[in-house]
Amino acid sequence: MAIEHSTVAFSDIESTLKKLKAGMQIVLDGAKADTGQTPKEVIWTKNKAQLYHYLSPVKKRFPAPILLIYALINRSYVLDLMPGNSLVEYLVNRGFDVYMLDWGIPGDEDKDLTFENYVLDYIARAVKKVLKNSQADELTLFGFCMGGTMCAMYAALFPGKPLKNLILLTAPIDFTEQNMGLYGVFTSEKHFDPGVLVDLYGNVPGELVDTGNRLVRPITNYVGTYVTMWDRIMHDKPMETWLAMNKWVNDGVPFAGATFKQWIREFYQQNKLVKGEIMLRGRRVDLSNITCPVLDIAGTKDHICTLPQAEAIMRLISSQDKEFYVLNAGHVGLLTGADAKKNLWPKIESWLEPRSI
Amino acid sequence: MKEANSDSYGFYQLWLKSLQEGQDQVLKATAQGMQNSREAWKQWLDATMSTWQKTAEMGTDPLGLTSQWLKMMEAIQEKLLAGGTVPSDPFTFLKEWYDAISESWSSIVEHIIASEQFLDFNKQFLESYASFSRAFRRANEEYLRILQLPSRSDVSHVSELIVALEEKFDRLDERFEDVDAVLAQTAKREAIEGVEQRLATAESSLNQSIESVEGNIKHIESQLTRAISGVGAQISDVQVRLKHIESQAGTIAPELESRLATVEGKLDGLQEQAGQFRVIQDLAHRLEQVEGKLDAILTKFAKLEAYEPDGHSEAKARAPHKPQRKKASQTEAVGQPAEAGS
Repeated sequence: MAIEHSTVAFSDIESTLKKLKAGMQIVLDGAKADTGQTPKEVIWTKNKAQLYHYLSPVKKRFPAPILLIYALINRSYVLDLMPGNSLVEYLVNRGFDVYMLDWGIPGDEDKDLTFENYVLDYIARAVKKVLKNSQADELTLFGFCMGGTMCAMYAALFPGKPLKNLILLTAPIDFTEQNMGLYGVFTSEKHFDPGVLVDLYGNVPGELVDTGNRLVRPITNYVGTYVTMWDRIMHDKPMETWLAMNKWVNDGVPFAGATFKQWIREFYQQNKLVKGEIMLRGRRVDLSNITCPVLDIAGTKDHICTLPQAEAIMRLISSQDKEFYVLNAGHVGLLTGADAKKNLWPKIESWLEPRSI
Repeated sequence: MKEANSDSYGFYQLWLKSLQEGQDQVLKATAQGMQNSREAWKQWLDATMSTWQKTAEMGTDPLGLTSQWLKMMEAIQEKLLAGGTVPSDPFTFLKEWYDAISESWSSIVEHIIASEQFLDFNKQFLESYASFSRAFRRANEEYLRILQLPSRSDVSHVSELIVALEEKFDRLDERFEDVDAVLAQTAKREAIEGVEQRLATAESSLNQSIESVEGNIKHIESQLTRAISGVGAQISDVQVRLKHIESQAGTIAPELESRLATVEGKLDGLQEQAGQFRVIQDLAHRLEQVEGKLDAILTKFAKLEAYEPDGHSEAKARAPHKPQRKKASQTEAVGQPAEAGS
């Protein structure tokens, strides 16, 4: 049996050493990439949060603007990852008026922020600013992951105008333990008290939250990522997307302590949202109040927000115009990459077009 | 004693032993000549796995790791040696090795981290680490306070005040925006003048419309008056003709009355005749009944005469020929119509 001839040019020692150096630099210093490049302007700030308005090179075709709301974990530029691989860029180039609320990086002084602040102060005011800036009466709210959960809560508290449409992208709604996989085990009341972390740190460090997320698929996240990296470097495959994604994955931000406690206790451990027991400043969040058109999107390979978790909202809302769209992808994979460009982005565009007039 | 403390489960010993056995195998193979890479990997795997197998058989497997590791290595061996060639490029081999082992490795690790022992250990570790860190932080805070240096909590306190101040500005900004929105809805001078002009234009056009409507109304009035007078003349004409008809009816009435009386008399006569006719009919009916009875009697007489001895044929000969009697109703009825018609 013959030994396979190597595809790597070992005779070219210099090239190999350069590649090794590049790989080690990424491992030691972290991935570097230019992300969030779609031109934008800041039209409003509140504390660390910034409201971006994306500047469009094409004429605006639809009067109803879109407000993107991301989660409180990691950075929001995943929605505008890099030129050619950006949902924001895609929508802007199709004539949509796009805004995004970037939560920023919480400081120690933000440890007492709760969902009341995020939903009733930040999102509510951002909606007003968007409407004023775009001179529109109605808008589309688009939430990703926990941002989708917050958008659903906002829609339940403020149904009707100015909320025209609601899009939820892998937004967890139902936190029944059996549907959550390892997350359900990690966050169960028996094994985890979020108060311990919050009392210790104030804001829960981003690295800790990241570790919890990675432990759901430890081999893939800790080993597979770098195996892929070396394979791409050594075989001269494109690295831009990998670098941008790796930068984002490692760009965790602190999680406001009081919100973290609420998130774990009231959502993961007590599953209050589907039971209609979430109270925000004395107001009950009842998802059946949602009557606007809803597009709910989930991925079959998503282990952070599983299919049942995302699908649950479909049976709770009162909307007549609602659709549950499923893709064969993971939590972030369905948002970026070749499949997203072929499937998710055109789907969002075709769904929004007739509903944004 | 030292070794027992640093390697209580014997993992290091096992690992070193497997490395030694592998090395011996390779040296042996090198001494015998170059073997192909596939054989070399097979021998390495066999050497490694034999050690683990012995460990598992001995029962020193507190967390079940050894037996799971063994299963994983067997699966890897199958996958790696099932392929036709083994790449000598280390990075390609790394990728293939990862693809071969990741699934089994993932299931083992996920099984471990989802186990009750790991989660309980994790919880206890977190709580003890948290209590230690809290004590450490308090000590640091106290130390910095003594040194009259600001601590992290002092800085975050100032930040909180700034954030609260910004919140107030934000609320003011929102109020100003609301007032702005209300003011924008109130009419400006130019807008008012424009509205006034439009009102004047609308007023003049309304006046014109009113005048034309009045003219139309007058025209309609005159036409109605003419129509009413024409209708009046027609009504009087109709009245005259009705009077003429009435007078004519007055002259014709007595004549009609006399003729009606004559008809009534004739009708009465007819009635009487009809009554007579009825009486005659009753008589005729009774006559017919009498005739019938007479015929029956005669028939019986004839039968009696026929049964007399020696004279029955003479009886037959003597039986009178009964003439056919015309019914009285037929005779009278023939005579009646002529009398009724006069």
